[in-house]
Amino acid sequence: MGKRAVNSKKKRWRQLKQTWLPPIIFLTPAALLFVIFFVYPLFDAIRISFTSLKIQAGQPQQVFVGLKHYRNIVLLDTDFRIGFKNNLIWAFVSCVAEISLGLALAVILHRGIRFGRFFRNAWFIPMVLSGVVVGTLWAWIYHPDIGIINAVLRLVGLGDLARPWLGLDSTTLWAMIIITTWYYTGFNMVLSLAGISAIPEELLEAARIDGTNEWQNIRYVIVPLLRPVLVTEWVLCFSGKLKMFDIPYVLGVGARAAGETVVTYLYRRAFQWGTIDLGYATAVAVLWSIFILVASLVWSHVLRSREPLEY
Amino acid sequence: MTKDRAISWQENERARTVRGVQRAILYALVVLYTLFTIGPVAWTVLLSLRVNKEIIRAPFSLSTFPRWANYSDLFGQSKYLTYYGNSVLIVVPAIFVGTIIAAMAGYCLARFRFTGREFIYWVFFTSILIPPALILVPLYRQLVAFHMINTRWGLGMLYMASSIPFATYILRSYFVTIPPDLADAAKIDGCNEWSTFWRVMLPVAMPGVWSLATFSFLLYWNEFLYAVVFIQKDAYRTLPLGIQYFRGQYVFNFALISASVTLASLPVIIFYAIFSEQIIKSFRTGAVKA
Repeated sequence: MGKRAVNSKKKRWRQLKQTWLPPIIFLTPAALLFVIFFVYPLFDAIRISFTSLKIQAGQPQQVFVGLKHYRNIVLLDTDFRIGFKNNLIWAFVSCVAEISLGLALAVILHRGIRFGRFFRNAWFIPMVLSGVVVGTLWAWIYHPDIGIINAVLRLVGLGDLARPWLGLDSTTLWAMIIITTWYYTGFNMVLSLAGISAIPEELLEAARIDGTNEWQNIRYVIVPLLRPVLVTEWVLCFSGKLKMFDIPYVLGVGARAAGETVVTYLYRRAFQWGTIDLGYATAVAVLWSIFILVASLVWSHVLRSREPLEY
Repeated sequence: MTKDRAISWQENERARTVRGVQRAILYALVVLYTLFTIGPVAWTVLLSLRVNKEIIRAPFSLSTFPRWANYSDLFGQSKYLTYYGNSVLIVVPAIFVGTIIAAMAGYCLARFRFTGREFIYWVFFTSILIPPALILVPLYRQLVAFHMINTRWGLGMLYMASSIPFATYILRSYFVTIPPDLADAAKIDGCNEWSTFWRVMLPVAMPGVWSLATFSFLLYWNEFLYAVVFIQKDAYRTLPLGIQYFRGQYVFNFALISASVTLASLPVIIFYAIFSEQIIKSFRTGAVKA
């Protein structure tokens, strides 16, 4: 080849290196971890959900069964349905409670109270605790013998109202709803607070001059302006509840119908029962994940504002 | 329209009393809610400093307070120290290495231009929506094949890998806000991409990196699902697992369990006490991006 041709080839090679070498070096560690521990298992999960996977004497045996698992889950699996129902009730009630409480607290903080910083930090504390810790704390609060709730009831003479709050089927779900409200309200409060702080003072001022009292102020001014934030809170909250595992598992109610959630059910099916079909458990996981994804998309679409907010 | 008539002093007085009462009620509710929030935590700390038999007999009495021996029992009678050590050994390196890896990836996605960049970004972004429970089963088989079950480094790598999408996303948006002139100036001074990153861009991005690190600390320290699935040997248990195990082992020793719970939450609470601004802000940024 002529010298000029060789030079231009070298130049192109250099340019290629310049565009591609830095990205490759910087991205590879992350990409490696991501692909190995996430992407591959993800596809594998989908694949497994179409098979019947049993571990006999340490050796896996796979048989392709197509959509059989999915059909069984939807049509036959009562445990799944119970977990599903519980999860939905829990998600709805808890999210409504958390978000409205969080909003109320945020409004109070925004208006300004003495020691506001202290209160804000205090109200956020539950969020930094582990799910195991939260479950333990509340298991004892609800404890029939040494629990605070029953102790106080007995103290004020309402002793016959005392009961095993987590043990009774009728109260289990509500007890857990209170726990997650306690746990996550701080998060929603912080988000709402940030959102309210972003509203220009003049708008709130104008509303006040127009003679609205506080309640109207909140309903007709703050909430509409806060809509994107509230929708985000709802989507995060709702999908978070659907994925909930730590608390029902730690409370030990996951094994009972009243406290089952889909993920605890999944865990039990996959890792705690004897000769189970891992393919089935994986199918439950895939189905559930699709549901969560769809639900999140539906919520964010349905709840978003009609016109763009301008202020 | 504003009410334009003059009000009598009686009406003024009444309005002020009403406002005063409203304020009082407000503060009462605030205090009540604060008790509700901190109550369980304070109660457990209290329990951890009492004699166990007495807790069962008389829930409210304080006569045996404080009993620090519960804590020494904790370390003497059980493997609590091991659990603590495991948590630290897993979480700290995972944060350190994981944040750096995510910073590199985030910087790459923010700064370099190459085909497929948007695609990679989109992949990271959407994978945040996928629940970890989905990949439990195949992940388990994978880790078995890699001999990573019941190992500290195995769980650590898993923690890092699972936070890559989120962390990269956050750091990328942070790097995007840094003016490119900074990098150009460094290049003029003779740095190549690598040293530009380490000497200039990363230090500048420290607030965002630090914010992510504190958030990750909370996440990893309290993590339970992966830990309970991938660690079965007692020697490698992390704190959350340890606490759960205690509850099964020492069912009626409330004092001991509360001590374990208090001590386990201490690092996060101290962290939170020091970095509360940071932490709250990082929760906010994380959610807003979502």
